[in-house]
Amino acid sequence: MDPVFMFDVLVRLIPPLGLTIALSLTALLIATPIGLGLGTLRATLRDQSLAARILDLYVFVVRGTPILIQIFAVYFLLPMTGLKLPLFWMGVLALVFNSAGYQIEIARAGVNSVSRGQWEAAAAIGFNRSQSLLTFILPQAARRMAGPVMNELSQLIKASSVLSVITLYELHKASEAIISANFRFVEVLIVEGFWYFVFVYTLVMIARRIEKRFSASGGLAEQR
Amino acid sequence: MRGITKSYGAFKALDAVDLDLRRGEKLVVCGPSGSGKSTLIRCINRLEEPESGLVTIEGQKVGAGGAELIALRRRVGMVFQQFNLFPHLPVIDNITIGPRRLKGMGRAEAADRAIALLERVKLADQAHKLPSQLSGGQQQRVAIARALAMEPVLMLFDEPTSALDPEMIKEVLDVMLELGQQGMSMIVVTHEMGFARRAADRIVFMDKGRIVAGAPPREFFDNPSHPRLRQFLDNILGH
Amino acid sequence: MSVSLTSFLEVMPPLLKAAVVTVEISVLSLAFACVIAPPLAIARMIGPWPARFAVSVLVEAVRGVPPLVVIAFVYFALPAIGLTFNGFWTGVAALTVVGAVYAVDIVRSSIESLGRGQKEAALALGFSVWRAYLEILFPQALKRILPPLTNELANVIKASALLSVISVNEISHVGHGLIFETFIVAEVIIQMAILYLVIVGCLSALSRALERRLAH
Ligand SMILES: Nc1ncnc2c1ncn2[C@@H]1O[C@H](COP(=O)(O)OP(=O)(O)OP(=O)(O)O)[C@@H](O)[C@H]1O
Ligand SMILES: [Mg+2]
Repeated sequence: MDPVFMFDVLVRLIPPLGLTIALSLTALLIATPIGLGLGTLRATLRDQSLAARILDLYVFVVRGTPILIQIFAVYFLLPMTGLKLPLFWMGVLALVFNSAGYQIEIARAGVNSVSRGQWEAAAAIGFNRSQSLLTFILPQAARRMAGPVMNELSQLIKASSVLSVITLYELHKASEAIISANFRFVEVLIVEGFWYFVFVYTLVMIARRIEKRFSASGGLAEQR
Repeated sequence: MRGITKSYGAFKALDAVDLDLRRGEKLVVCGPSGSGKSTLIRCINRLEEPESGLVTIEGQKVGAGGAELIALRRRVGMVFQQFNLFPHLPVIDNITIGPRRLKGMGRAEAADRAIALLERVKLADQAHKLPSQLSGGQQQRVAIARALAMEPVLMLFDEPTSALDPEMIKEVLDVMLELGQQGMSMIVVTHEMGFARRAADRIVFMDKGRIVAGAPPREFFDNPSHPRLRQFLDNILGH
Repeated sequence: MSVSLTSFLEVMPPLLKAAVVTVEISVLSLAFACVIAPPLAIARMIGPWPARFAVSVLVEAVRGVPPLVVIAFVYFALPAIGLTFNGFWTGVAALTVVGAVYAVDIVRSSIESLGRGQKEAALALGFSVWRAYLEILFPQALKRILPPLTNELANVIKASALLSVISVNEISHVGHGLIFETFIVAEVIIQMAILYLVIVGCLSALSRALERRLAH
């Protein structure tokens, strides 16, 4: 292993890392409100309702197929419908489609994990359903969602590497290009892995901070 | 309440039950497990939706949903077997959140009244703990205070002591006894026959979704009118 | 965009053949992963410190990077150390690494969830630590290992799609090729999605059935 070469790669991979960050964060900022919002909604719907069935089907498809197929679908099928998106936004769209599905499931499970007794106690006092949800159920559910959401965050970043197949010159694509030029795969892959690690770790740290703030202030329920 | 019927699938948990309660009356409901006691009181504030029948409280019909039902629930307090305190809120907030959010009461006033209620249930010193830091008996007394904070005209209790250790049962029953003496209307599902004897104006016995016997305590215990009731009393008193 | 049944049927035979490859690779990889995970997990818990350290680094490294990086590494590393596998077995090797690393964590947390009492009881009876883990704790933990492992199988199947980048003839690679050969697009993508849903669904159902079997 050659430290000079590794340092060189480290620097050369910074612009592609920037693209990976841009893709992941954009997708995250779009997918999280959509996913958690729809998942919470899903938890309050009857299983037989049409909206619930549509959401369930969506989650089923997202969780049951590889991200690669979802990327193919966006890349090949979207242009056929006449919608022309720049490559970057195709990548974001694929990641959003994927991550929102997982986050729906996270929010649904989080809300459902709060016992029925909590809904009943709130109803018995005289809160209606939306008040109960906001005041009692979501603050408790949010704590249980925090871990899975953080996990999803790192999954999303890792999934962004698959966008290399649609020639987005992100971190993994760039690493492959360097390897094919000089075949020093050990060094390049270690550096690439290092960058992913740093990115994931930083985001998780930030997310933990936010989570701590959040629960120290008593969550959503009571602002004092 | 008139002709209340509730089925789960083909199974009738409540079969055309009629029941009247005077203001200030304390009614104890007993009966074997699965006889429909919980279903009965949960139909009163519509945590369960009965298929047919009618519940009126102070002349007002309890509707199937909407604003009327919500308004009514605010005037009927309920205490659950599993306490169902809000675990993310300190004791005092568990009590004040109803008045503050639903009645627009100011923070200071709500807190003062919560402290007064906590004194009534002898927990004034625990106001700032989380529910998980309290014993079961203490939690249940907080649950009673939480229900009282909405100033209900009727209190429903569903086996409030059956999740508790024996030493804690008494502290909860004492609070309930006192509440009864202060004139609160109460419907209590319980197996505590000592409490029933002392506190109840009337006891009803349920079996298979019907009320099969009902009488003031003395008559109820000393002169059981129904064979199924006699068997039940033998079982729980006889040992 | 229109979907025609003729095109759908036209691309079916090659995709079905590829589906068999996907199933074979996934099942083989998870099977190998299950064999190497328990000793690794136990080594991570009670091994001498160099072993603990090595396993921890391996697990954290593989979990911390995208599976594509692991696949690339295995793809280049095997020939570099003199092992020339074909694409299929290279794919199996790569997915085994990915699967094993997750399985190590599953095994470890299941054993840890048993609580201290079981371990202490075994030690008190005179078992050595290693034998206590292998003969008493691990078999008990097995029940708790199976449900997350079913989940893991689904992940391995999905990860197998990534082997298309090293030209393994599984569903995604064959499908991608078909799109460019036949210009049938929508039918290929929809069919690929259905195949994955069916495979994930069937294998999950199968392993849940196995789970129930073993639970008795
Ligand atoms: N959600 C439900 N779905 C199906 N059956 C139910 C449901 N809730 C109650 N039941 C059935 O209705 C009957 C009456 O239940 P209920 O809870 O009212 O009994 P109970 O008298 O309160 O019994 P316990 O003393 O055990 O609390 C029981 O046979 C029960 O199995
Ligand atoms: Mg009951």
